[in-house]
Amino acid sequence: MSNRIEGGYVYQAPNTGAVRHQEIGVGKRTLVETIQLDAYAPSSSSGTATTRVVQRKPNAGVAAASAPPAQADRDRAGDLIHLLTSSPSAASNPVATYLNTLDTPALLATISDAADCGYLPQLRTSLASARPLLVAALYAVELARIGPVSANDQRLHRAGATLDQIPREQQIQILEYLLHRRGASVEATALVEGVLAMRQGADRDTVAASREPLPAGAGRGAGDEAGSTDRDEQAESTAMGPSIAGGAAGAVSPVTINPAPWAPPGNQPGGLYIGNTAHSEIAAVYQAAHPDDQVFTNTAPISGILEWLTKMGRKNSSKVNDTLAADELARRPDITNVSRRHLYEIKPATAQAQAAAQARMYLAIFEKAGVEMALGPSAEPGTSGGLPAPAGVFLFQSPEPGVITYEYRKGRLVPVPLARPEPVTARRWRWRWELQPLTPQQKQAIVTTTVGGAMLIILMIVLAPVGA
Amino acid sequence: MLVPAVQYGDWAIVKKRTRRIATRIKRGESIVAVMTEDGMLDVSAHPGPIMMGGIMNAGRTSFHCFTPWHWLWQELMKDLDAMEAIFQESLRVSWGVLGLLAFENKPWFYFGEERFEPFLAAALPLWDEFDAVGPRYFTAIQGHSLWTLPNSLHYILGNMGVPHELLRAPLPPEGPRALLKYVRRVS
Repeated sequence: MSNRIEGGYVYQAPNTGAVRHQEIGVGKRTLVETIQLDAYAPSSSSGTATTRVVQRKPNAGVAAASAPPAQADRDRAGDLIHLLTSSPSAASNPVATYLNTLDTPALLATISDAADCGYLPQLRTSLASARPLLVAALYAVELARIGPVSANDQRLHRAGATLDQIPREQQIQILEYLLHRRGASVEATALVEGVLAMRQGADRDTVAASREPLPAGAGRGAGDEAGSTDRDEQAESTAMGPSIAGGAAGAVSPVTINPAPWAPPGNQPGGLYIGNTAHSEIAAVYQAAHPDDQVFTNTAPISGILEWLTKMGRKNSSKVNDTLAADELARRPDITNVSRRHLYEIKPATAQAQAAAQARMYLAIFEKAGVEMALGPSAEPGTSGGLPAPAGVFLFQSPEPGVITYEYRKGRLVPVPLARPEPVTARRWRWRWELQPLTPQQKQAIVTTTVGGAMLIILMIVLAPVGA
Repeated sequence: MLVPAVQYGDWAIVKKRTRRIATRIKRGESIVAVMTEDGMLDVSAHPGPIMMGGIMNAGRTSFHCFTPWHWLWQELMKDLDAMEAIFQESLRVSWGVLGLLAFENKPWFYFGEERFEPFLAAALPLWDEFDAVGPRYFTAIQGHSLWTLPNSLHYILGNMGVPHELLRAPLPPEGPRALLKYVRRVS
């Protein structure tokens, strides 16, 4: 029996070939990037509140309620800091009293802003015996700031135990905060459902295992079986050749896309490694989808393309040298399909706006040179799909003309035929995203800890930096 | 499969080496003579991916089989006769055919159909030798068989009438020759 949750993690019982996975739609816009891609993202993409906090009196909170959201957050953080720095009262806890007036998103934003200003120690002291929601929010703010942790990290288990004490809706809001702060696209509801399904599956496995005798000399567990399935599918996938997906595949069914080895050349930083790999591989997919088109990738400067067009008599040479600056001639669009007159710029999903601006800039350069080009349509073959990435997978799509964005994710992609007919223009496949097999320690921690702890463990695995 | 030793090594070194070689070729020296001055290497006796294009990175020992044609394409645009001479000379050696087969060098075939048939005549007899190397052909991270990477043969056969789906499908046992029956004659 399997648990299938549309748009969420799905966990199947091990004896049905257990794997843990999360479904995501390729066509669905997600503003996502792992922190390794920060080098390619706008510098202010983290969304953290690093703005200066202005100290205000507590009663100013009423005015803040009608202020714009960011300003209101700052005002509330100012109020909180004021309370944290005021003389403590033995009879009451004004910090907790104040925070109790806020809804969960505002609570998280306020604590987060105060933490950004260095007030975490005071918050810990003030909220040590507060109600579970406040403690859980504080734990979440702390977890959002730490690096990779092991599944047995006590901070996760303490936070998980607290998370168990609050209603599901608030749990989801806290998980959403963590996911947003760490730059992941996993939906918090999916995480919750997935963890619950996984634990239910583990419970069933435990019951089943206790009833069935093990083969002589063999140890067995949910993880063991899941692992062997993964290996078999890995071997099958490798034998099937390239794992190109999306529009490029046409009538051919896509295959499971497994991670490629993590092998950065030399001491290349992870972000650069991922970025270069994504550009080269996506450009190759596009070329494969347009085998007889005249396509240039970002190793060819505009000067070369224009000179070739001139030689071919497809443009007037006089415009090139007269109108274009040296830096314009040296630019290298990621994909220039001269046969179709299409241009694309490839960027991480977090830098979509930057990609669009760059594509328009290339368009303008070609226009100045007298070459008519256009932003490539989003529905073109080779502009969406999934690809192996170093220690993960790339999901890429064209969210707007002239732009191809990609997301880098740990795990692997499994094609899932659509259950119901869709218009012929819609994509014929969607992708299920799977976590990489968990380590025995992670599995053990997930099934033995609290539900909240399991959620946080999964979350920290999902958010762990590449190579960590 | 033998390739010039100058193509093997870290990209930082190979780039400098083959830049100098490209300059000498542009000045009129023979591409075959210049490229083979340091001898040949058997790819089966040396580790490393066989890079066919894409963004190159220093720090990894590879065979950079696409170079120096990608530079020569840009730099010889003003002298198409010299470019043609290099093209013809490259077809006489297997590593030259492999270099032009690399997707990075597809633009060598963007000038017209005149180069299609000479290239097919040179490449098809060598296909088994190239293919025998196995999935060591790279764009960036993962080894592929030569056919499953974009390559100049796809461009040529596609423009000669071979349906796209056949170019994306696994090759029949007899190799790309099997696709010639779909080819319309080039005038």
